[in-house]
Amino acid sequence: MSLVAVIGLELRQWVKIYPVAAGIGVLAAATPWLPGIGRDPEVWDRWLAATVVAFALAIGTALVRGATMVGGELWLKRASFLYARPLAASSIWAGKYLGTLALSWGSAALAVFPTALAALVRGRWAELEWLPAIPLAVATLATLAAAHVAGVALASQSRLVLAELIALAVAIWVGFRLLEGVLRWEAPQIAGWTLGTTVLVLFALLLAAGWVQMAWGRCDALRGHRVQALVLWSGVTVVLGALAVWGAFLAAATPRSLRTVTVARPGPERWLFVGGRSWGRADAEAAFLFNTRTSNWRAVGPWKGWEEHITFSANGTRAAWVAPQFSWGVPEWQLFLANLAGPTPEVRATPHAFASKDVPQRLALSPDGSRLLLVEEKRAEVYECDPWRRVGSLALPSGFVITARFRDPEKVRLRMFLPLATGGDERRGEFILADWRIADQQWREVWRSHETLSGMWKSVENESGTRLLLHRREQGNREVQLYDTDHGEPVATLGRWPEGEIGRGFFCADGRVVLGVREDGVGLLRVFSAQGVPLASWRLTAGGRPRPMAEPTVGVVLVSLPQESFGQTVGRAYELVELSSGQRRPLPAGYVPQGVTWGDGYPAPGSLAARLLLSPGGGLALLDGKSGVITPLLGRP
Amino acid sequence: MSEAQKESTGSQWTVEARQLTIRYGRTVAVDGVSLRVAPGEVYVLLGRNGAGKSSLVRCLLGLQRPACGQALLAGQDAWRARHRVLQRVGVVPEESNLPPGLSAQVLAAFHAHLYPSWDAGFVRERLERQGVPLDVPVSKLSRGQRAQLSLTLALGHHPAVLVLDDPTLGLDAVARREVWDSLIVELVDRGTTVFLTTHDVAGVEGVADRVGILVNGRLLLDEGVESLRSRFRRILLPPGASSDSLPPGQHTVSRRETPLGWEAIVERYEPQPAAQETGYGGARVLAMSLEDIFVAVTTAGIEGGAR
Amino acid sequence: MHIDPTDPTPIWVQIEDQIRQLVGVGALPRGAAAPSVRELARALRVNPATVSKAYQRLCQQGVLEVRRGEGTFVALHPPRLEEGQRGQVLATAARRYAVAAIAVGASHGQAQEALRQAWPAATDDPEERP
Repeated sequence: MSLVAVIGLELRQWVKIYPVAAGIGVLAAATPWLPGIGRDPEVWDRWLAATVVAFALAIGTALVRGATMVGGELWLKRASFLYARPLAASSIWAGKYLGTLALSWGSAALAVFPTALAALVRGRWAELEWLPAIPLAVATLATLAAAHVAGVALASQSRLVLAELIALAVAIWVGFRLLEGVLRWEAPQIAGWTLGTTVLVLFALLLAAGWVQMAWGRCDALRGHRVQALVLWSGVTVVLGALAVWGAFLAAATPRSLRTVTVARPGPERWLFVGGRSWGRADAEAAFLFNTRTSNWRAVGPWKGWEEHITFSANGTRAAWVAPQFSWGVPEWQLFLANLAGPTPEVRATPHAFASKDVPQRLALSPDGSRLLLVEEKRAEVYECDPWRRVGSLALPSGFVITARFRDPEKVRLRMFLPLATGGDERRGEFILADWRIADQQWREVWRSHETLSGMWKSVENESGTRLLLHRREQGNREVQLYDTDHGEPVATLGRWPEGEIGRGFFCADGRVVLGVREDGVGLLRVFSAQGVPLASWRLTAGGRPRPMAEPTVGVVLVSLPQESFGQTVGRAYELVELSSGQRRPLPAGYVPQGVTWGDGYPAPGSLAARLLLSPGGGLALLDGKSGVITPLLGRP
Repeated sequence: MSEAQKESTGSQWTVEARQLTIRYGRTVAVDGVSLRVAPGEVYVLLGRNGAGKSSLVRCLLGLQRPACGQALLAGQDAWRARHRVLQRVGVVPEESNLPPGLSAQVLAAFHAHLYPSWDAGFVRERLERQGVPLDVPVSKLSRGQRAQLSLTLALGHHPAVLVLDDPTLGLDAVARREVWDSLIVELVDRGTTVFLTTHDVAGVEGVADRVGILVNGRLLLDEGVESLRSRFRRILLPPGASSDSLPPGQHTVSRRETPLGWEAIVERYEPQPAAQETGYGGARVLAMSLEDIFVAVTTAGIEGGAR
Repeated sequence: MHIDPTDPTPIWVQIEDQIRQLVGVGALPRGAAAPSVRELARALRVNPATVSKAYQRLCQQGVLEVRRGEGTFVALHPPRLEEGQRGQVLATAARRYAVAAIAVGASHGQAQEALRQAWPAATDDPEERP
């Protein structure tokens, strides 16, 4: 076959490289025995020399031979040798490529062979995995195709080559910018697919350009250069255009195009910070500010799991968040503010930027939306939102800040836990409730008690901050106590339950307290008055401990009930329980309350957060507490 | 003609150019050239260096795409059907394009794979006869040996068409004769259609059937050798005679004064009745060799008549 | 035998004439093998087709004959030229000679004398001419 003949010709001309490669390979295998490396060196030591040499030989051969096998022949006017014979252009192309690959890979294999033989002789088969065969093969082929094209360009001695070099630089720059637009979504599926396709297409373009040069350029260097440049550059333009379109498509997601919702952080009124996956965009998640009443929305950008850094002001006019900004190196986090007062939100970035380790732990907005609180590791700062300027700063003692929020634009309420300084149980420490007047540089203690950390996470304040529900650990039991924080006095002890039998509870709109407990193996919802007087005890489950989640409508509580099977919790069911009557209405299967986050407390009664559900299809829905009607909101119902 | 000759001079083994134009950037190397080599014919294309001969040859072989026009090899478009048609075509390029590191043996083996009609014995015998060593790399061969190797490789598959681009470039007189000799033998044995370019006009004088003269990319003459020789004459007037005494009705290509008298070259010679001839006070009318005609046409750059 | 490139007559005519002359003076004896097309083409460095053409005409005229499987031979009985043809050939040649003689200013008598002297030389074997 003529193809084999062409390959053979190529090999015959350069067969001298094989003995050279074998010689170098023996040298490389002998490096472990060089003085200064040690008798039995690390595996990678042995293979390092061999791999480096193999790569150098393979890439070097591909580079030199790639440029000379066509470009060199055109330059020396020897190209007509093969073309004046009955050989199809494809055969010449394939023959030269395969011949050069045989030289390239063959010499690499010979360079590695002595080292491989040394490993095999000692029975160390596993060591062979140290050889990066696939990357070597791919890199060689890519180098070959690129060298071919470059060689022809040089042989044509055309002035176009200068323009091409400039175009190359521009294309690379543009390509990186466009790739940024895709990679900033931090979606591995998308990134992998986009990068993989781009690389493959560029690879195919190089090969196509080379083939076109050989089929239509033949012995004419100028024409060959022109046709290959045409193929290459039109292809590159198409690739860049496709990347641009793809990037634009990714960025063009709307709340309506959401399919599955992965973040839904409701504001106090109608605004919702929502994000998730949209149709056709695989795992790229876009976030939006969405108004559930007017359906106005604004895109916020790519989203990836930083929901703890989203906050709304109590009056619903402002939102703030800290989001990571994509960069090729270490990502930086940027602080954003959104003005929700108008029909469409305005989003702007503040001058504040953080390194990953410096991202603030707590973010809070004042109730009127005018001020922003940032709690970092050793400091808390308050900023005026419009215009952006710092108005207060506070040094914090080392410990945990459980919550931090504004009581009014001038005062911040902090809940802190300071572990014991020395010895003892680290999980015990001082629980401090403090007020910070922003104008001062210090905080004023409102409450202090000695508590355990786990108890701290379960402590709950009411909306106005006048009441506190505290879980104290007492000899293996938990005592739940109700406090009046304005006067610093206990109001009542709601009860004592063994560890594990009492969960969190919260304050209802009218001041009633609900707790989810288990007594005698029965799950109960205990209701107490604002003064701590037990009002009702509703039996909900025959084993699992119910967890009250929110109050979608005044007087109706959404409860999460564990489904147990042989003592293990296998799932959760959700029910609406009417506090006064104990009437229960289960939610349809598949719906999960979405607005409840366990960090800051519990959703305000009747708020969007209390009514937000995740639908079985992955979308969002709204629950009417009174009627139990569920209305789809966004995404797949 | 032998049977082999009849077979290879089948009506399809032609070489043709139709309005061929070749451009390099803004320069026009070949300008609307049309020519046709009939089966079994020997066509010689003459032209000064840089006249466009090599470009034309490359287009005829499908190695280069013309700017306009068409090149036909064996009746098929040379550019499109190149690799099919070249099965029966032997090519000897102007400068050796053989891979320098390979020996004649390796090259012959390579060609054997390409042509089913490869005659290994003929090739070996021919190389031996020409004194070309089989195992010496091409780069170490002499010029003459390389030329003979190229020619042998071109003849090895007994082609029906031979295209030679200045096959005797840089060769000494002996080597040159050997090349033309081989060509003649090939013609005898197989009646090959031949298209060749050369500077050795005298060497191909007897062999050529048809001649084309390329001047600045244009084909000024495309005619049978006999026809050319019958109409071109050099007229020498004796010293002292004025140039007006040249016979009338002649189309003069050029005239110049030499120490020996006026010399005129005419391209449409009409023999005058004897009385008028002698009336020119001893004018001598000489026929011209092909080389003379070539030089005259090229330096004068006139429009020649076809046929 | 040789070809004169500056002779305006076509090459095949020259070959034809020269072979006819050789046969006429006996340099190519009757019945002998004529040089093959290949040999003649190589020797004269001309296109074998040209030689073939000359040979064809000579065969037509009966000067040469082709024997199947054996080659081309001189005819055993090469034809004599017909009177008319001979006259034509003589007239053309004589005219040329006359012109050449007059061109050098020779007289009729001098031209005839030269012709008489040249005759014996022309009938010799042309291969042996110095």
